[in-house]
Amino acid sequence: MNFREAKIVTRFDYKNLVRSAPGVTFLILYLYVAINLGAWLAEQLRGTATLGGGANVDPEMARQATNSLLVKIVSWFLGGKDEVVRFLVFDRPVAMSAFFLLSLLVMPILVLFLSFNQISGYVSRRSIRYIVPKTGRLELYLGLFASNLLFFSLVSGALTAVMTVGWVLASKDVGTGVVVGYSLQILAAVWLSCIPIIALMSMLAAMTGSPVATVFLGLGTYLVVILAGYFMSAQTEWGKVFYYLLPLEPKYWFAYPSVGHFIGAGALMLLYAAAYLALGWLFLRRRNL
Amino acid sequence: MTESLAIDLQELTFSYGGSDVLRGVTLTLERGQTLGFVGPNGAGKTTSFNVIAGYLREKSGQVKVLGGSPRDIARVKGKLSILPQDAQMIANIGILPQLVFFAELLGYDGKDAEAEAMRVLEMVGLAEDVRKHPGHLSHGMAKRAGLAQAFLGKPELVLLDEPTAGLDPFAAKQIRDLVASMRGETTLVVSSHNLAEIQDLCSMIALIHQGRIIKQDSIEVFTQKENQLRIQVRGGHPPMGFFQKVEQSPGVRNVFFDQYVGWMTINLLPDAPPAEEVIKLVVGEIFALNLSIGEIQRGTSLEDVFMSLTGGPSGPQYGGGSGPAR
Repeated sequence: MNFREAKIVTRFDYKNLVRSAPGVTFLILYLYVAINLGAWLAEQLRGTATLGGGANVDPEMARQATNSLLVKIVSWFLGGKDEVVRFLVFDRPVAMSAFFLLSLLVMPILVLFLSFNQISGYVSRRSIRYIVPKTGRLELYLGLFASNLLFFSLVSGALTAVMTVGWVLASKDVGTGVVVGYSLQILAAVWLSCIPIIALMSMLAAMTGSPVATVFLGLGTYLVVILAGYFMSAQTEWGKVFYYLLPLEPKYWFAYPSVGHFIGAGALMLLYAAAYLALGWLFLRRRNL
Repeated sequence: MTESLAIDLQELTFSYGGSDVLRGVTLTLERGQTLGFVGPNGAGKTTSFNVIAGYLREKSGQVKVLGGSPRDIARVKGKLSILPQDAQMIANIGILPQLVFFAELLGYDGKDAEAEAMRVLEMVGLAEDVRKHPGHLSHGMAKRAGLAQAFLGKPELVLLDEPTAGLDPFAAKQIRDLVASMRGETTLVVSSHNLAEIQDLCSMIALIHQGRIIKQDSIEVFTQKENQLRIQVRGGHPPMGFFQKVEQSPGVRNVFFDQYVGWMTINLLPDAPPAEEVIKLVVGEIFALNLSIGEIQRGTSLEDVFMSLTGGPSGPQYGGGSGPAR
């Protein structure tokens, strides 16, 4: 593995990504979803910054008392885990918690539209034939993965920063430190939960060599895993295993109160990413270009 | 011994979806030579190039390029270079940044990479077009941009798949001159359907047909330049006695005559007197018969050899009137 060459690939592809159809599509989708969601939540935050009351309040009572859509969102995501709901609703600004959970749901799906064109774009146009005699397949593969990750990191970082300023200005009764700290947690969690999806798309791109097939296979995998997990877990206990083909469940651990859960979820996300990348590499190293 | 070979293919096979494209290709090329790789469409030229470049994985056989596997990039990087037939550059990035990117991958840094990119763009006549994006280039310009990337650095082996296809005569000549200037210092393999171009540029020829190399030799041997004369007789059909007389001349092995086009082929023995003497003798006999001469050739054109070996339109099975003069 030559890191210098992987870095050169990353820098070149990043420039390409910013000007390419997938990059622009992702930016438009991301801006549309994030700005609308953020603006709506900022409005909510103005009225329901924290429901207050601390950890001893019964969440069922709180739900009945507030009947807030935000609480419903948080409860729906974490149904059956009352202590987590209580933490997100009462100890954190509930609007930001709702944004957090919605981001964990939506962002990995949006990332599919950013990262479908990794090596598949180079294979389908055969541009890869100009590159491969000059650098190894591994350097190219990891360099392209890194450029997609970098692009996503910069876009999500910039938008989170803008939204944090908005939240700070909108919230009257929540300290700036709490808002900024929670924003950073959200950014880190969403970033980590998207890494395996970018790696999944690297793998599918290496397998198919076609951008269109990659995006359809990516969406299809998401759908199949959810449906198979749902139906199989209704049949048998081990059916739940299907859910774990993608990091669908562990990503919500990022929202749990304990640091241990956050670190565990982060480690799992990196493990998923490494597994997808390794599988993709097994295909790419032997495939005809 | 192997180290002196730039390319060493032994019994190479490759299949696309169950269909055998290469069926035991054996080809060797010494370093510093210029090889013309010719064959009909679908014969396996581009597939062979792609295996040599490491894009495709052979089904069986041995592929050695510059002494090892072409997929060992750390070893061949900067030494092996290729102009692929169907590759496209990234459409929305200018050609200069793309060539700088390639140069950086080859080990050049910063300004050196840009200087190297400019050097090859000037070589192919694109120095004025560095800001253009590949999406806005004509076919000929895109081909020259592809050539530019093949000439980056100091490659030891350059594979050029149809380098002049689709170029206007001026651009094609420019590319031919460029390739000619690299002969001797770099091992070159050129694939082309323009056989006259191959005959001008290359010292060695490999002819591939139906997935096999059916002949590989120097251009002189290929075209029998030293042991064959071809004379076009005009004004009528010489009598049988004329052919017998020529065949009994010193150094002549045999004589063939194609009555439809009037070409007489004289095959010479290895210890034949200088060809000029045989020509003088035969020409004198033809004039004595009150016939005239259209053209005299030393050896066969590459096109004729190609047609003959691949069974083309004027090959033996179509020639009708070809055959021993008697």
